[in-house]
Amino acid sequence: MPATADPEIARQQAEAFRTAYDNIRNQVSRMIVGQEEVLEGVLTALFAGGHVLLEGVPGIGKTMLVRTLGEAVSLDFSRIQFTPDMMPADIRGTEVLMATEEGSQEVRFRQGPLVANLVLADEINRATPKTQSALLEAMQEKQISVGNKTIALQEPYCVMATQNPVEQEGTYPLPEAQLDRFLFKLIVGYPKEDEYKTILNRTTSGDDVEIESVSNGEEILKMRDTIRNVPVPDPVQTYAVRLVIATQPGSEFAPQIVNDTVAMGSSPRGAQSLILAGKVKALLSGRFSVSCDDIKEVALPALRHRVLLNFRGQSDAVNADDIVRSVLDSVETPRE
Amino acid sequence: MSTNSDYRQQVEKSLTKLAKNGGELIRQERAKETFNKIWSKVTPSVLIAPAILFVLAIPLLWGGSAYLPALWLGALITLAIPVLALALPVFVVENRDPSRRQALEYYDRHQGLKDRLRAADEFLSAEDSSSFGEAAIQEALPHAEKALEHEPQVQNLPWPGSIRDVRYLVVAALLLIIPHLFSTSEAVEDKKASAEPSAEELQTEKKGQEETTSPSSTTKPSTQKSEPRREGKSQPPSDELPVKMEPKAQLSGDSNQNVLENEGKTKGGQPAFAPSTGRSQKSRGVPGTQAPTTKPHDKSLEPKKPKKKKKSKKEDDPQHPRKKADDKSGATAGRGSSSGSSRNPAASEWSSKDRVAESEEQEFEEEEDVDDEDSESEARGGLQPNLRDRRPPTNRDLSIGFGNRSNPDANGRGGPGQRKKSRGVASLVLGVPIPDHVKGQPNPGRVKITQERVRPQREASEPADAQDRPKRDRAPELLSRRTLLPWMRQVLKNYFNRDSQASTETTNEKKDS
Repeated sequence: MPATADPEIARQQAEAFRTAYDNIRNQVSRMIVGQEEVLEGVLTALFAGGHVLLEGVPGIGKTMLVRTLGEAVSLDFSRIQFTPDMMPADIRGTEVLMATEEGSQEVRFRQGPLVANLVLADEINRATPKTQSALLEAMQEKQISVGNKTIALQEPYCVMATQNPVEQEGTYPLPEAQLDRFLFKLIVGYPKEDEYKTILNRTTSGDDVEIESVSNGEEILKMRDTIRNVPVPDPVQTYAVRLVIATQPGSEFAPQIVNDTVAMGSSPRGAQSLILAGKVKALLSGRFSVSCDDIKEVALPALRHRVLLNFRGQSDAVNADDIVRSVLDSVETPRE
Repeated sequence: MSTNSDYRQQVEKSLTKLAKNGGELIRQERAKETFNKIWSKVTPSVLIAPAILFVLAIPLLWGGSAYLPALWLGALITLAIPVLALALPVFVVENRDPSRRQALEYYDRHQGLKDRLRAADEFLSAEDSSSFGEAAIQEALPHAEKALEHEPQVQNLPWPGSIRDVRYLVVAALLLIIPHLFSTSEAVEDKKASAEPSAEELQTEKKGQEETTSPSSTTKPSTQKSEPRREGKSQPPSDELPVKMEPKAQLSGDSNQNVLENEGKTKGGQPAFAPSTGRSQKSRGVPGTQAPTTKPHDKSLEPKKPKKKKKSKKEDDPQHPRKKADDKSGATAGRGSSSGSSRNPAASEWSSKDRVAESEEQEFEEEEDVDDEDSESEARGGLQPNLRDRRPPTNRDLSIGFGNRSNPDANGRGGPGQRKKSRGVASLVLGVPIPDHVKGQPNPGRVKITQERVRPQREASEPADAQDRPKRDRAPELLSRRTLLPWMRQVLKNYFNRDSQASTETTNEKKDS
C-alpha cells in the first residue's frame, strides 16, 4: 500500500479557495451588475495565474470591472490608456536624469505603469505593435527589460486588457503571439433588461458603492498553489490535448470545418489554459479532480482567440466560436 | 491511517463491483448497437435468394416441377447467410470484455458523476497520492455506493428496422411461399389427373366420332393441338373443356365482327372497313360541316402554294411598302445622293436590320427578283450592268453624332446607336485632312472634312465667389462598411481561391522546371 496523504488538508484548501473566490465575487458584484460569466472568467484567470482579454462595445463596464476587482483584492492597480502615439518606454518606464540630495545628478530608473500587480490595458489594440510587444515579456516572463536593467514584476501579476470590436479604424489588431499569452478571451455582452434598471439605480442615485478589500496578493498566491495541486486524471488530460490538436488544420482530430477555414490552431499554451482553468472549475464545483466537463466549460474562452481563420473562413464569415464548438462536438471524451 | 485504508478498500470493492456490472451493461449495449447497425444493411440482401428462386421457379413450373422442392430448400439454406452476417458480429461484440475504466466511465456518464469513479480508480492505483487525490477517492465512495444501488438501464434502443425493412422480409416470404404453393397445387392436380384416365379416353373417342361425322370441323383439332400444354395448365383437366372452349372462341369472333359493324354504323353510314383506315379518311366520311374545320389543322395534307401567291401576299402586307420607304430614306439621308440598293448592308443600318429579321424567306424572294431583273434588262434591249453589284459610296461623315440630321436609329426602341466615325481630334477641330481608305480600293479615297464654321460666342454667367470651407463640427465617424451580398462574397471568394491556386500551380511548375 503506498503512503497516503491526508485528504482533510485538500478539503480545507478547497474550502478556503471557495471562500476567497466568493468574497471577491460578492464585492465586485456590488458594483458590476450581471455579467456573471465574465466575472467568473476574470476571477478564474486571476486565480489560475493568467491574463484576460475583454472584448466588448464601449460602455458596458469592462474598465469598471477591472478597476473594482483591483479594489476588492487590494492589489497595486494601474491603468494604461493605449493610444497610437504611445511608446514602449511610456509603459515600461525609462531612465531619467535626476538630482540627488548631495546636489549631484544621476540617472535613475523611473518605472512605468506596467510595474504593478493588476494592470488594466485599456483599448490595447489602439497602440502600435511596437508598444503592444512591450507587454509580451511582462506577460510571459513577469519581468521587464529596460536598457541593461531587468526588473522582476511582483506576483500576483495580471494584465487585463480591453478592446473594442467595432471601431477597427486606427487600430492595430493584436498579433498572434500576443493573443496566445492571454489565458482567456471573454466577450462582454449587453446587460439584460432587469440589469439595466439596477445599473440605473446604482449609478444615477446619490449613493456611492464602496468596495471593501476582501483579499490580498498573498492570499491569491496561496490560492494559486491550491489550484496547482488539483490532480488531473489521464483521460481528462488526453481530452484537453485532443481538443487543442483538433483546432489545428490537417491534424488527426480536426473536423472538416477546421480543415477548411482555419489557418492556424492553438498552441500548447491552449492546453495549459484548459487544464488550469479546468482545475479552478473543479474546485468551484466541489470536486477534487478535473473532469472532461470542466474542460468543455472553459474551452470556448480558452481557445477562441487562438484560432486564426484563413481567407475562406473570413469570406464565409465563420466565427472562431463556431470553430471551437464544432471541435467540442467532434472530439469525443476518451472512454478508456 | 487505518481510516484511510478502510475507505480505500471500500472504494476499491465498490468500484470492482461497478466495473463488473458496467462491463455487462456495455456488452449488452454494444450488441444492441451492432445489431441495429447491421440490420438495415442485411435486410435488403434477404430478398436475393427468394428472388432467384422465384425467377427460376417460373420455367420449372411451366415444364415440370421435379427440381422445385430442391430449389426451394436451397433458397431456405441461402437465407442463412444474412442471418449469419447479423449474428456473427453481434456475438463477437458481446464476447469482447470492456476494460475496468470503460465500465466505470459508463457509470460516470449515465449517472452524471463527472468522472469521479474513473478518477478515483486512477488515484487508487497511483504510486504517489496527494491529499487532493485521496480526497477525490474519499469523495467517490458515496457516489459509488449510490451507483451500485441504482443500476443504470441498458439504453433503450428502438426496435431495429423500419417499415421498409419489414417490407423486405414480407416480400422475401411471399417470394418463397408462392412457388411452393404452386408446386403443391400442381401436385394435387397431377394426382387428380392420374386418378381419372377413363374420362380422357372417353373424350378422345368422342372426338373421333365427331371427326367422322362432320368434315367441316377438321381445322379445330389442329388449333387445339398446337397449345395442348397451355390448356392443361390454365384449366383443370376435365372432359367438358374442349366443348366449352369452342363456343368461347366463336363468341370472340362474333364480337369482333359486331364491333366492326357498330363502328361502321356510328361513322355516318360509312362502310364496315372505315375504322381500319386513317384519321383523314374518317373525317372525309363525316358529312358537311366538319370537313372544313379539320383542314387547316392538318398541315401535312395541305397542298403547296404556288410562288406567285406568296409574292402577292407580301404585296398585300401593309408593312412592306413602309419598309421599302424606310430603306430608301435611310440610304439617302446623310449618305450621299446614291439611292443604293436596300439589300446592301452598308447602305443603311435599317436595311441591314431588316435583312437579319427577314432571313431565308427574303433570300428566296431575291432570287426571284434577279430573274425579273434579267428579264427586264433583256426587254430594255441588251445586257445591262448588274445593279446588284453597285456599292454605295463610302461613308466619310466625320461629324460627331448626326450633325444636323436626326438620329436615324432613334426609333424609340433604345439600344446602342451606330458607331461614330471619327478620325481623331486633329481632323475634327483643325481640319487636317486625313486620307480615308476605302475598303477594297488600293489607294486612299476622297477626303471629306466636316468642320463647324461657327464663331465662338461668349457665355454670360456670374463668376462664382470663393467661400471658406466651414470647420468640421464633429469627429469623422466610422465609415459604414458595406456588407457584401452572399453572391458577391462568393464571387470574391472564387476569384481569390482561383488566384491562390494559380499562384501555387505556377510556383510548383517553376520548381519542377
